[in-house]
Amino acid sequence: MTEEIKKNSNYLRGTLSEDLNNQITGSLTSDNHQLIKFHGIYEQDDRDRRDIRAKKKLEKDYSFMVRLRIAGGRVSANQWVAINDLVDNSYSKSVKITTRQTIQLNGIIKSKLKPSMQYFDKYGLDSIAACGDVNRNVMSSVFGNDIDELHKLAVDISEEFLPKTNAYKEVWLDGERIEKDVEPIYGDTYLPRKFKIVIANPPFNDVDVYAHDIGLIKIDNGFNVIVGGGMGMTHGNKDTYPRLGSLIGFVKKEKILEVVRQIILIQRDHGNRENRKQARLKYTIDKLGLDWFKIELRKRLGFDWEKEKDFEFTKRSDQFGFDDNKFCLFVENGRVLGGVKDFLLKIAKENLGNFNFTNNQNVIITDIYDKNRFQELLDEYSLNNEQSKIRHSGLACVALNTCPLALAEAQRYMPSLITKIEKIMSNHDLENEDISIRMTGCPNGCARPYLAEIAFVGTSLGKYNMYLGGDYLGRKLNKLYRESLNEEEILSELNSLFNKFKKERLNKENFGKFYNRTKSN
Amino acid sequence: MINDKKQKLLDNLLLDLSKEDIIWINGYLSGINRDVKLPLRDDRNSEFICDKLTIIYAGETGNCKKIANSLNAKFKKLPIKTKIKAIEQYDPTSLVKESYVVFVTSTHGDGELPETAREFWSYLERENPKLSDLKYSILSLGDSNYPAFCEAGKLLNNKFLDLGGELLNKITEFDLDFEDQIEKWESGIISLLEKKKSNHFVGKISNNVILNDKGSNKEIHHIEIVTDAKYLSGDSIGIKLGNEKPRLYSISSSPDEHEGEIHLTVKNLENGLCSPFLSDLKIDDKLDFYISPNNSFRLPEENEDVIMVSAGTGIAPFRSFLMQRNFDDVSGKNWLFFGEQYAKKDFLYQSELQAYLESGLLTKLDLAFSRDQKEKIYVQNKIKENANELRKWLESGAYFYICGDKHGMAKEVEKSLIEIIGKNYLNKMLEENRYLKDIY
Repeated sequence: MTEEIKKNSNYLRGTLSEDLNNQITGSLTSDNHQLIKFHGIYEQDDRDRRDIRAKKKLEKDYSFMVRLRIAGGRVSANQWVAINDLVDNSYSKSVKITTRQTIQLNGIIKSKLKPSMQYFDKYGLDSIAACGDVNRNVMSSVFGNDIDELHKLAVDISEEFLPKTNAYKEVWLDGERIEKDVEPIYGDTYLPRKFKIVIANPPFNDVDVYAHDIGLIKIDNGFNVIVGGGMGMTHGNKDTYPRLGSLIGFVKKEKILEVVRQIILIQRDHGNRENRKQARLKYTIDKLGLDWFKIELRKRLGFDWEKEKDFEFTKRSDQFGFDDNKFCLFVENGRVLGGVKDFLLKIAKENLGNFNFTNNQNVIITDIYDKNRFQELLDEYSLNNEQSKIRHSGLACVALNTCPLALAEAQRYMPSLITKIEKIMSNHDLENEDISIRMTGCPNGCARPYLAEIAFVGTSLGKYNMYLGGDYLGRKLNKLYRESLNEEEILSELNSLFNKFKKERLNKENFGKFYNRTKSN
Repeated sequence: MINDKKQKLLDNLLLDLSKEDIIWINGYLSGINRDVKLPLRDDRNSEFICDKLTIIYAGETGNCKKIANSLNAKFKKLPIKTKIKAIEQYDPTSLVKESYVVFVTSTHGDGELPETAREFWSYLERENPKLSDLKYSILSLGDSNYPAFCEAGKLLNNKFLDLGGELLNKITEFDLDFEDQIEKWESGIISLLEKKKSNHFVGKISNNVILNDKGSNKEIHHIEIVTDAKYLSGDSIGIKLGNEKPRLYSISSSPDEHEGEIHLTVKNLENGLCSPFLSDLKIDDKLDFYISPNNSFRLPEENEDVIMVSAGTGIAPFRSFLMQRNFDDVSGKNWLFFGEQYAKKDFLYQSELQAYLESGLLTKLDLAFSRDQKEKIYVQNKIKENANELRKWLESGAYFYICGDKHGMAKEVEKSLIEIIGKNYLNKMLEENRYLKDIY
């Protein structure tokens, strides 16, 4: 179905322009729902408002979410002001820092969509390929040395594997219509499924390097290459599963772009195009075998790679607070609201620094030239990063009320659940413990739940499957522990687990490690 | 449009009028528009005060019998059972049980009843029966060449009055050349028995929802009323609060699609009198209203094409039209123009119109949301945009309807229309009753 849509879309044009002019509905027609994703846009509707709109004899409350493409997550102060203004001028309802180091603006209605896209363009921003069956936003670590170099590589990879169609310019920017398009890398059906690339910088694993189609681990003058990671699965479908990426070896930095290209091409040619639930690179590799994959890659490259190099991860959470002329600010679940929103706007307007979104939905203000003034503003807005460690390292996806896939709440509910968990931890004298807790509204895995020490994956309203056994650094998948728990049951389970953890933990053992050591089978 | 002076006169007149007066005038004005070939159905809501009637005739020449039979025939189609008797065959003791009787009598001699009535009369004289249930009407025949012209009728009347009867109307007197007057007399009798057309209804509110979404500058209510009042698409209801002039609201439901209901589409005006009252109505509240027919704003035959132009609550009668045409499964095409401020918040009846587009009932839907883009776009702009297609429709006989604000929208739409088809063609449409307006 989606394969047909791509093929018939004339390189992602479809009838998007006609649909934008159609005032009868605030929605899109048929195939364009799929196509617009390749332009970085999702159609959504406010699920909280379906009933009231029906009573008013109005169609669903449709709007669009635009996810920007910001490889490596950096925007200038100037660009941030522009993004913020879109919300303040009621074009968009909110800004959220995503789990892929970019931002998304939601609640943009159809009549405001094209003006918004032109506005982004004016400020050097775009949303090409932020969704769809293409290489998505490329993430790179924001901690440690050499991160500028990694950022540059993220940008290079993103540019190299962008769709080359002129459709984006034609649909959104009134670009001149060209007769014949070509997609030298993707062809007219693009990839079988989304494709994700990240770059990690040991000892920091803030990008969750094992969770993506390609994970690059920076070591000396090159990268260890990991392939076939992925989070998504479907409840009750045994053929779908999260998979840790497989480490295949080390590649020198001059050759890394070529290696990435050939991996993408293997997936383009061998990925499953019949069944989207079996289409990610992880399934291609499991079906054809990792050995086959390596042989195929070698054949396509015409050269071999080296044996993987040693590395060590010791941290995955963001490093909050000042680091030289940078400051990492906690943004709960990435939602830029209230004081945080006002503060960031003030920083940007006073041109005190630029912004680098982290891989855990927070933001680093970089290039701070006046630390005193910066501190003054932190105090003024009472931003002190003094939340608990579990709150700092938590991740939640968007879920209700706008994500069409959501089965349960996530970002709107997680803060209050964390408050209750904090209380239980405090009862067991564990308040200073860092445990990675993640929540998603469905099993597709946007907040990478299967790499958390404790994860809650929505099954229905108010009910979550609970996963345990992931490790603190994201090197191990967790496993289903209990099914469809409500809040009371969640808290009760955690109470007994923490009780045991407090009594039986060895030395400074993390929760995940403790659980795996002591679990019954 | 009328000038201010005329408007004032009209306003003054309206102040003194009762509901019934206004209803009558409304019908009268509709009637003045003589070329209207649209359906007129005035027996909506009509009922009778009795279900039985006795006709008694007293004559010698056969005239009375002929007239009585003719009257009797008229009742065949009405829900009233009749009994017809010559007076000599009528058992006068039954009189005490009668409630509605029409007497037809001729006059003889020196103002006497005919010979055939002798026994009947002497019974009355002798027994003096109590006739307190009797309501009667008398037709008296005579010859004006005689001094006691039609005296027999008076004689009967005086007797009945003495015995407690009630005369329903003035005694009708026929001279020798009565042939032409029969029909008028007959319909007089029928309307005498017709319930005073009570056009007053009390409905019950079953739904009241604001159609606009949050953030809109408008507050337009969709109000549903449960009622047995009969109406046609195009009609309005009138609501009179206290001593105020009645306010009319176009009905937005279809009598067939929404049997037993009337829907209104009411904009709550901050300084209004009636609209805040309607807007505040809660479910199960009662509402007093009357039906105000609008015979100059009716749907054409089923095979005719229809173009409807509206802004804001002007969509009300067109929702009624569309629903009716949907119910009737018409072959004619339907094209709706609608204008408001914002698509997201002000698209009245959006989901219904979308369904009608999908089903094909609506052939075309052109929208003008003035504030969704930098430059303001109104329905008249949309009409100009569609000039060619519009001309085609009109030249193949389509009806053109406008509903909405007479000062702004209707005027501009008319201007645009003249630009497209010319003044002469517009006049032709007027003559053919294909250019119809419900503006306020």
